[in-house]
Amino acid sequence: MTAPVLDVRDLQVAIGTTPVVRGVSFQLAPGERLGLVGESGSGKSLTALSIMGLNRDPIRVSGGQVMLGGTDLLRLSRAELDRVRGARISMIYQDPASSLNPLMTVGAQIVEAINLHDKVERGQARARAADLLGDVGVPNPRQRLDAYPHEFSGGMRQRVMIAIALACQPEVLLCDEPTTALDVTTQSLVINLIDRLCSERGVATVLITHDLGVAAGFCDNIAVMYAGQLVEQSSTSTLFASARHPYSHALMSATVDLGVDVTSALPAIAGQPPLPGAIPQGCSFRPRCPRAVEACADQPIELLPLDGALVRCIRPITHHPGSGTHPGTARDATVGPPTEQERVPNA
Amino acid sequence: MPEAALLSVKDLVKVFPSREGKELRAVDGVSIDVRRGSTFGLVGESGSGKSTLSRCILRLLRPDAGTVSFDGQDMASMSAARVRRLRSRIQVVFQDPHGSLNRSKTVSDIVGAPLAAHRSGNRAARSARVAELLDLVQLPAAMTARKPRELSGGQAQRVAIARALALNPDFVVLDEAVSALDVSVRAQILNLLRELQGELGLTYLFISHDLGVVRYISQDIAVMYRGRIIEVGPREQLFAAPQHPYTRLLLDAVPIADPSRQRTRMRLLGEQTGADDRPDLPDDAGCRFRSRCPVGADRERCATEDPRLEPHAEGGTLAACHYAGEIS
Amino acid sequence: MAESGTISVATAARRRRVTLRIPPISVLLLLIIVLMCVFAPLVTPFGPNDVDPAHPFAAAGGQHWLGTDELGRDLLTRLLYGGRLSLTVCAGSVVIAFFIGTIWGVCAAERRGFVEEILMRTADVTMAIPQILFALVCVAAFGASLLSLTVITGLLLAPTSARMARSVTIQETSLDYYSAGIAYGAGKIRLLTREVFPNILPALAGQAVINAASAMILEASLSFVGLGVQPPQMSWGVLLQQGYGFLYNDPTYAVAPAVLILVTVFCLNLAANRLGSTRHRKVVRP
Repeated sequence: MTAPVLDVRDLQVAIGTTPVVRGVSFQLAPGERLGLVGESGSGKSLTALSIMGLNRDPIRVSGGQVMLGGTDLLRLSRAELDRVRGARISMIYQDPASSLNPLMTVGAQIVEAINLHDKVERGQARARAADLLGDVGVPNPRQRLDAYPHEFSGGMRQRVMIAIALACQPEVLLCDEPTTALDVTTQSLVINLIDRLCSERGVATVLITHDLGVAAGFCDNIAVMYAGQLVEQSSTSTLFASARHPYSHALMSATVDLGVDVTSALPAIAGQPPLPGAIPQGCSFRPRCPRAVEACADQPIELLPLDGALVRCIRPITHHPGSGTHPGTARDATVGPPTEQERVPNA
Repeated sequence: MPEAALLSVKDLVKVFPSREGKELRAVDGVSIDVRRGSTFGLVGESGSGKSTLSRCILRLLRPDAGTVSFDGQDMASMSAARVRRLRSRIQVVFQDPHGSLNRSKTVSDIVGAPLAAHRSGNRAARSARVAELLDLVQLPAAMTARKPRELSGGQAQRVAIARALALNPDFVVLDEAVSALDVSVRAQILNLLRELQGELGLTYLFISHDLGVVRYISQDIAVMYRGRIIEVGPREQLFAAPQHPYTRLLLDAVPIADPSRQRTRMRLLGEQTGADDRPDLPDDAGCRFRSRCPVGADRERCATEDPRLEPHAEGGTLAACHYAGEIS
Repeated sequence: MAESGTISVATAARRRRVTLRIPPISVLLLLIIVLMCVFAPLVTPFGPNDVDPAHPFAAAGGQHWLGTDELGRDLLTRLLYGGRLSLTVCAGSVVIAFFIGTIWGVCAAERRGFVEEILMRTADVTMAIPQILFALVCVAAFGASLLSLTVITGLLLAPTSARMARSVTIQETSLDYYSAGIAYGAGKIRLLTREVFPNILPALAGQAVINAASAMILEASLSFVGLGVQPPQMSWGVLLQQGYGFLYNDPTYAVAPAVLILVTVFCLNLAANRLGSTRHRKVVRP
């Protein structure tokens, strides 16, 4: 395996003194697409913001490393970080309306992004900006350079954001819920665009989303977050065919897509996600888990390898042989009864 | 179908003045019939006019034309006092669970507010009713003293539902009521809404941009596009054989939790409709969907004649398309 | 892997207790000033008009903490009694501005369109008139009594309250709880008084504190030019004016009331800032 472009090691983030990201580690290979999936409050967005060094008081990183190539982004000074952000790692946000400057033309904003890291002559920068706008699928890019953000639709604004994020050919792109604010019909277009551009340029991407369907169509690997921790990480096909962690499994079953049985009640997850500061001892999913036993409360559960995936569970779900060949059959897996294959931490 | 309609909207129009003196026809001649005891789903993207329609039905907005009749009575021609009395039978649950609860009140104040406003019962009777309502939405009685900020999204939405049920309504408008909730909580609330409907015989108007959720909960579904209903019909027919190209597009755009299929769908969709920024066409000239339409973009009839909502296929679906059914 | 996520109930309780802070210095200072003025007879052994012709312009210190004036009256005593009037005018006008402004602003917010235009343009026009000029005309018309001074100041400050009330009411009524209230059949008046008013109260209170500072300055200015409180009644403005005549003989005489006005206004503005920042502070959620 080639060296990872981004290596997050045991990242910890706290709001004040309340830990909200509790030891997140993952690696991103060049060109890889990783999905970070979780519900609100799971810490997925804070993970991304912390990688970019964009946390503001009272949110701060309380431990860990974020290695981009050979440098730890968390140890950089502000000036050094400014040189890295945008040039080697950049980010697109959920709300394209508020992440663009309403008083500057779109062209000026792209040129600014180019100029921050590449000192090029004015005409040349404009030409590059027009090319970029064309690449992200904005019709008539030359004329549209002089338009203001409010003259664009939501989907088009997000395309402009993508153009700005890719202006300096970064190695890593973080996408924080890039399509949540968009309509469904626009959503697929934007995801498709990110998909195409990242393949062409070999940009490694982290897609942060609450929508498993979006992650399914885009990501090579998926990490599921719950209460500030990764609970399961595996390849997309493995996860959807055979989710091991009860939470990932329940999350998939509870998703209301076009295939659900309309005649019966939905398999909902009982209870509420824990609030930061009130996370239960042991396994944080334990109070909502149908498979929980007393041992789950005893001690922190480790993220351990299991059949090519990483799972944070001492009683992971087993799947019947062959069920893996039918994608989307995770619903058929055994959830309730105890399993023959139980794991003990640190065994 | 219409003989049992609890709520019947006919040719409703709501126009907003927009900048530059132009007017925006947010709802442009919409008619729907909601059968008693059923759930009517209304799907549409942002700007389709679905929320304006719901606000007209709730009389939070005054429609410019058309009628809204509830249980045989026309609300548009009704006096303000009679509308107020009728309000107890029509309730609403909004999208933002925290914005729809007054942050300075406690849960019991909030749930009891409709009772207090209608001066129903004394203090003790009201607090008994509040306890009963919280039990109905499966919230522990200990929640009564809490403020909205101490509730999670799902709990807050349960409180909003309890408030909506306080006056024993027949009809509840659910305006994106589960859209702001997380996946795991959304399923709980949908289950609760179905249980309540069965228990109390409620009729729902369920408004959402999420086709999966609408499909799960509604028996009849209407799809809105720029102020018009472009397709309406029973769930099974609408999902099995969508007649309008826009319905087809929406169905294709819903992400599915199956990596290989989702990947191909996403690719296809990306190629199919290149631009989502085409200028809006004037309302009077032909079909309003044609700038994005894979079927009628270049056809003359689509450019000159505004399609009417008409039956096209077996099974009771109506579609506003000259070439309905061609897409499937 | 660090598992520092669990927090005991005790820790959570401790954290909650910390948020109950002691009031800021500005509020404490204001409180001291107000209490000393109200309980002036307990603070000083002198009366405000006790003349001591033997010791005019006595230096600060000893028996007279701030010295005496041209008739040997104790300056501190006169300041405290003067403060009673200054603070009364200030409080009275703030209350008037609060009531008129709130009704004005809420009406404008509730009746969008024509009524709103009229109400808010009236507010703009009122705010465009120079305050002193307006006060001059009113005093000339109604005479310089304590009551007219209070009412005039109150009327002058009402438009700023009205603007604040309008903007926060519009903000509140656009929230869904208001729509839900209309939908369950609560009347607008009921919703505005029971549901909306408690929520806009902090903003209105902040505006009232800012108004108090303006009222203090306005009272002092009017009294200084002889259009406000009339001697032998005294306020800080009156004392400032009297001291001004002896600026070279006895600087403390003029400086003491000036400093008091300054400190009070400054503390009021600080307190208003404080109120504003607590109102805007949001709960951080991941």
